[in-house]
Amino acid sequence: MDDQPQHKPPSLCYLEQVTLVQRTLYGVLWSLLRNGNDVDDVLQETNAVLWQKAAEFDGDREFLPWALKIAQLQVLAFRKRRQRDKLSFENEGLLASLVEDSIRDVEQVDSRRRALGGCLQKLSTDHRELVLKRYETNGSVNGIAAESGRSPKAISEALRRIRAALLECIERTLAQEVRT
Amino acid sequence: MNARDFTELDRLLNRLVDGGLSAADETQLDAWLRDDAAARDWYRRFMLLHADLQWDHGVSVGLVSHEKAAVTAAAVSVLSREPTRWMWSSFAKPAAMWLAVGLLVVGLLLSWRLRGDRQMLVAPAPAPSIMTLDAIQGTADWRDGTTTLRLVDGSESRRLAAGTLFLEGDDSSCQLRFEDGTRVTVSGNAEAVFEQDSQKRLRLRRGSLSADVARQPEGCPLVIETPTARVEVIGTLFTLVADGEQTALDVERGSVRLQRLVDGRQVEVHDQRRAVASLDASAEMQAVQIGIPPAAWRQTFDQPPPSICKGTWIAGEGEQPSRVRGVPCVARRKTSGEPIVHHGITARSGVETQLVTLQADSVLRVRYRLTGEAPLRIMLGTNHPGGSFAGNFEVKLGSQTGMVDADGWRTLTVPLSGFQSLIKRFPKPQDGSQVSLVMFNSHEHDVGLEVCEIEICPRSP
Repeated sequence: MDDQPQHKPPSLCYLEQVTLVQRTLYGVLWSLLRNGNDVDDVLQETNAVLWQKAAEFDGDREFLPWALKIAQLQVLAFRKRRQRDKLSFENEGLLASLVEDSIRDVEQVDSRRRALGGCLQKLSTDHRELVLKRYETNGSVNGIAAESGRSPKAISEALRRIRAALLECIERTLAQEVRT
Repeated sequence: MNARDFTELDRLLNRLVDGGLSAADETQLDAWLRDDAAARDWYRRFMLLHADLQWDHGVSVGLVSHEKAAVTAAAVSVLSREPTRWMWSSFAKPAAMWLAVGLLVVGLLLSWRLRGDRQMLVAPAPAPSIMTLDAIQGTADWRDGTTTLRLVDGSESRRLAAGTLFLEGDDSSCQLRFEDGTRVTVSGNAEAVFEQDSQKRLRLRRGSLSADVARQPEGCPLVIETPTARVEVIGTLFTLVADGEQTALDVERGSVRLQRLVDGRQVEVHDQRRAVASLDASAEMQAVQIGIPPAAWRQTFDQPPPSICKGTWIAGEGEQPSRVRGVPCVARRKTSGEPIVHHGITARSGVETQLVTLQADSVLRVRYRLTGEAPLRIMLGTNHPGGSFAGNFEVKLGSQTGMVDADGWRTLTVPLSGFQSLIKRFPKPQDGSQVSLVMFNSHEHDVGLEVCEIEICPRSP
């Protein structure tokens, strides 16, 4: 007798939902894991589970909170495997809080992303190039420092100021959008 | 942009993403995030910015290529990873077919998303209010998704939309009332989420919550979740105390079903009974009669006090007794967000117990000493025998109060009648109520407060 679990292929609608939440999952996972390689691993594991659980999803529910809960459980499983629990997120309550806050604010994610595009354009050319270098594949503070002849500390400080300016610009843009 | 100054947090976060964050820094960061909702909010915004930049490779390099890569990688991982090998053997062809369809959909969706980026933004409609603030003591913030509201003495009768309550300070408390008369009291350093659609849903992330629940509609119980448990309530009076590891439920009247999340086991808890749900699935889960604490309680510090108490323990040497020294604690915040810091010690019961039962003739005795002068304050947090909140009470003192010995130790005795109410609804300490918290601190100044003994007992004949 075949005891393999019966698997119903995901519907197109379900695949669409999975696709649409990729970037949001990526953003939330960064706040939960803080490391790009870990984020990539857990995002893949989350997608695998989303695929497996397609038949369990109740279409009347919102998809993203469901996907985020699955991602949260994958983070917990990942951390247990890595035995990193003592280094951060000493209690799972903090992790749960971050996920819940993300679910609550999820409507803002796309707006923030759009605002970021405009804010990047407002940076000076030098600053924009610094951001691009930092975030290109394998970009790092030390690499930029070596290439530019500046100290890593100076590069870090410049990036800190740029990020602060971008965050402020995003908040200002969102506030203006709500007013209009 | 949040008005709070997050300069130090900002530096930590930049070190986090650019390298150079030590384990100690990370511990500090986690403690910060656990205790401060505004810091957590800042953290999430920062990490989202970082993730967006990371995802886009600087935006101009290509949203489409990365997005395709991520989804393709995700889909491939479904088929290639060890745990999912069964899928391949059982439905390889259908899966491959659906995967292909999925990737086609991905392409379509991406083009749709790029168009969607130009969609008009619509200002959100204000959320409907679901409850009323009845009373507030200490500092509290209310976050309803887009705004943070500072709740202070005088904010009473304010209507609140669904949101999250953040209470700061051991002596803080907040009473809220739903439309149907259900009253909820949250106390201590606490964080609780309130929502209501067809039913009331609360999440107690930490702290203590008492509820006097009006009869709920059939099939729509009030639901409360904590990190370790879930309870469903039809109509009853009960108290939940939760931290990250366990949840204690005391039922004063009615019955409540408590579910342990770690394994889904449930127990029905009736009048005057208590049950605890922890992360330990091997622990027996049962409802037991709520015990009555003794009429006398005495705390010395020969051993370090439990971690839930506050104060730095100092071992005795020579004639000097073992003692605890006051530590800074945020009592509340000014409207500007600036903290008001007291220095003191806290003795409190654990999640499952109370310290002492008060009687009409109870007195509090404390042995303490100081190195300077500042106004002093002692506060008692009390509960009814069934566990529900019974009010906070305080007495204010001058530095020179009490008899002093040669080593500078003073002994002070305060009758229960000397304590003043901090919440109008509870005008005086009730005979038979139980003490869960004793705080002793100096107001705003560190005057080296040390305590070697605290006692609450009936007045000696």
